[in-house]
Amino acid sequence: MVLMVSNSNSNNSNNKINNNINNSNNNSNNTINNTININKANTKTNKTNNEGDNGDNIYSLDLSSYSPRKVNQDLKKVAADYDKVIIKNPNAMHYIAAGLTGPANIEIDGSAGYFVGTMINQAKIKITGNVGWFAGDNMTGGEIIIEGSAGDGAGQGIYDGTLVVKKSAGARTGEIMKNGTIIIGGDSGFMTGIFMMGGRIIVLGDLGEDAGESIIRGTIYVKGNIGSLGQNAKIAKIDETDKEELKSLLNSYDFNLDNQYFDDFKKIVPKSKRPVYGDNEDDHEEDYEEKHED
Amino acid sequence: MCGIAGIVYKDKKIHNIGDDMTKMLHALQHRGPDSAGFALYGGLSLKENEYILNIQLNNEKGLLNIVQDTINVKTPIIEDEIIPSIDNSLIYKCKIALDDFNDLKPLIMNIDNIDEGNKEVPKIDPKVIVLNGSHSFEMIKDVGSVLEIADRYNTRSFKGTHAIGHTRFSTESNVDRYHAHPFQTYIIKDVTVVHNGQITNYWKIRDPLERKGHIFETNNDTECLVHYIADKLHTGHSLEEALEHSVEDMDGPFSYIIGTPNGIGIAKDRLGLRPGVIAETDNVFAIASEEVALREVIDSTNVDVEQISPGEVKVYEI
Repeated sequence: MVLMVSNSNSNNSNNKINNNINNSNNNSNNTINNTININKANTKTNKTNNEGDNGDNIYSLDLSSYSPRKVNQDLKKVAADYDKVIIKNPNAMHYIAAGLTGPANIEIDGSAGYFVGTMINQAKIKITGNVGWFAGDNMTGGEIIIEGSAGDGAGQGIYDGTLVVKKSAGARTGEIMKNGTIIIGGDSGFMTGIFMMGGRIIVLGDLGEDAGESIIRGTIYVKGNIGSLGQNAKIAKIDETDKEELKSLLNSYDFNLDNQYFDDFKKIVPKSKRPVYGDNEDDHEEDYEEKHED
Repeated sequence: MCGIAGIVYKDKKIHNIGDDMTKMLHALQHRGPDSAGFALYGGLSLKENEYILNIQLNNEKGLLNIVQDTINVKTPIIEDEIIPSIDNSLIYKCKIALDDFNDLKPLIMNIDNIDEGNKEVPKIDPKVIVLNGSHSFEMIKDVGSVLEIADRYNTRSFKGTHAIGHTRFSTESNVDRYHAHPFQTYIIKDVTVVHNGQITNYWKIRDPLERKGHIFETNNDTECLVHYIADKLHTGHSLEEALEHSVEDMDGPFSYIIGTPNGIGIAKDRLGLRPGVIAETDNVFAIASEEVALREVIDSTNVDVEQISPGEVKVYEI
C-alpha cells in the first residue's frame, strides 16, 4: 500500500484533512514524492493541507481509534520521513512515542497520559496539553516540551535530554535522574529530585516537602520557596555563572526572563556523595563544592 | 493498581450519570481488569423508609424462598426482580421498607447467616450474601470488564446527580462480586468507598472499630476504610474532616473516593504514591485516577486538570 502525501504549500483551498491513500491524481501538481509503506487499515489520516507554514511535510495521526501499540508502530514508520508529525485527539492516551529512539518532530495536540516519550533518544516532542505520570521516563536524549502540567515522576530516571513543563509538576520530579535537564515553570511537588544522581532540575515556582531527598549528585535550582529539604540535601550559593547558564537556557524555551529574575534563586546540592544513614549526617558531610567535580 | 473515579453535577439535577461513569471506568480499564463497580446516587425515587437490597445467592433449590421468608419475617417485600448472573448464582433485588434505619444491618446479617456453613471471615463462595442495602444510590458491582458489566446491568441508562466507580486489580483479597468495590457500611446511611492502594496498618485501624461494634465481613482493607469514615461521620465530623483524619491515621499507598448522599470526596496518602486528578467546570466536579477518564466527561483542553497533592483532601457536596 502506497501512501501519497501532498505538500503543505499546496494550493488546495479546502482546509479539511485529505486522506490521500491511493489518490494522488487530483493533487498531482502539488504532491511530493514521499511514499511510505503503511497498512491501510491502520491509517486514519495523513497530510493536513495548509498546515506547516514553512513548507514542511506534515503527517497527521488521529488517535480516536488507535491503540498505543499501533500509534508507536506507525510513528516508527513515518517519523523520520516527515518534518513534523501532528497527533490529534490523543485523549490522554498512555505511552505515546514510547521507545521512539530515532529522530522525530512530534506535536501532540492535547493531553498525553502516562509515560509519554519514555526512552526517546533523539525525538523532539511538544504537548499542548497536560501529561500523566512519568513523562520522559528514562529518556537518553531529545526534548519534550509540555505546555500544561505534568503528573508525578516527570523525568524519572532520565539519562540525558531536556524535559520542559511550562506549568506545574506533581511529586518526585526527576526521581533517580542521572543526567539531563528538567525545567518546571510552576511548582514541583513532594520529594523533587529524590535519589538524584546527576543533571539539573530548575523550578521557577515553589518546591514541595523533602526536596532533594537522598540526592547524591546533581543540582536543583529553585526560584520560589522550599517546603523542606530531604536527607542529604543542602542549600548552596548560586553564582554568576549559574545565573548566566540559567538565563540562557530558560530564555531558549521562551521564558523571557531578565537578569534580576535570578537574584533570589537558590540551589540544592548533596551534602555528601556517600551518605551514611543512621549516624549523624553532619559527621559525614563533605564539602560538595570542592569534591563533586570528579 | 486500580482505577477510581467520581463525578458530581453541581446543579443537583438528574443527568446521565450511569453513562458518564461507564465511560470514565472504561477509560480506566487498564488499571484493573478483575472487576468493576458503580455507586450511582440521586436517581432512586424511594420513600423515606424504603431500601433496595441486592442479594447474591446460588442456584440451590429453595434458597430463594428461604431468603424471601427471612425478609418477610421482618418486613414485607414491596417489589422484587431476579438478575441473571454469568456464574452459577443470581442477584435477587428487592425493595423493602424499614421504619428504623438501625434495623437494616440486623436484617442483612440474618440473610447472610442463612448460609450457616460459611460464617468465617472472609466468606468463601457463600450461598447467600447481601451485596448492598441502599436508600439513595444504586450499587452495581461484578466480576468482569467494565463494558461487560455495563451491558449486563445496563448501567448506561442510570440517571442521577453524582456517582463513584472502580476498576479493580486485586492484590490482597478474593476476586469475586462481593469483594468488588464499592464497599458500603450500615453505620450510617448510604456511605460508599472505592479505593486504589493498600492500607498497611489495617489491623491497627480495624481493631478499635471492632471494639466499638463495627462488624467486618471481609479482610479487605477497603472495607476498613468505609467503616473508618462512617465512624467519623457518625460521630459528628464533616466529610472533609473525616478524610483529613484518615490521611493522618492510615499508612500505606492509597487514594480513595467516598460517596455520600450529598457528594463525593477524595483523599490521597501522605507520600502521594497513588494518583488522583481533578477537573472542574461550571457544572461538573470530576475526579479520577487519570486524566484519560476526566476527558470522557470534561473537555479538559479548556479546563485545567489539577493534580491532587500528597496528603491532600478534596470534597464536593451539593
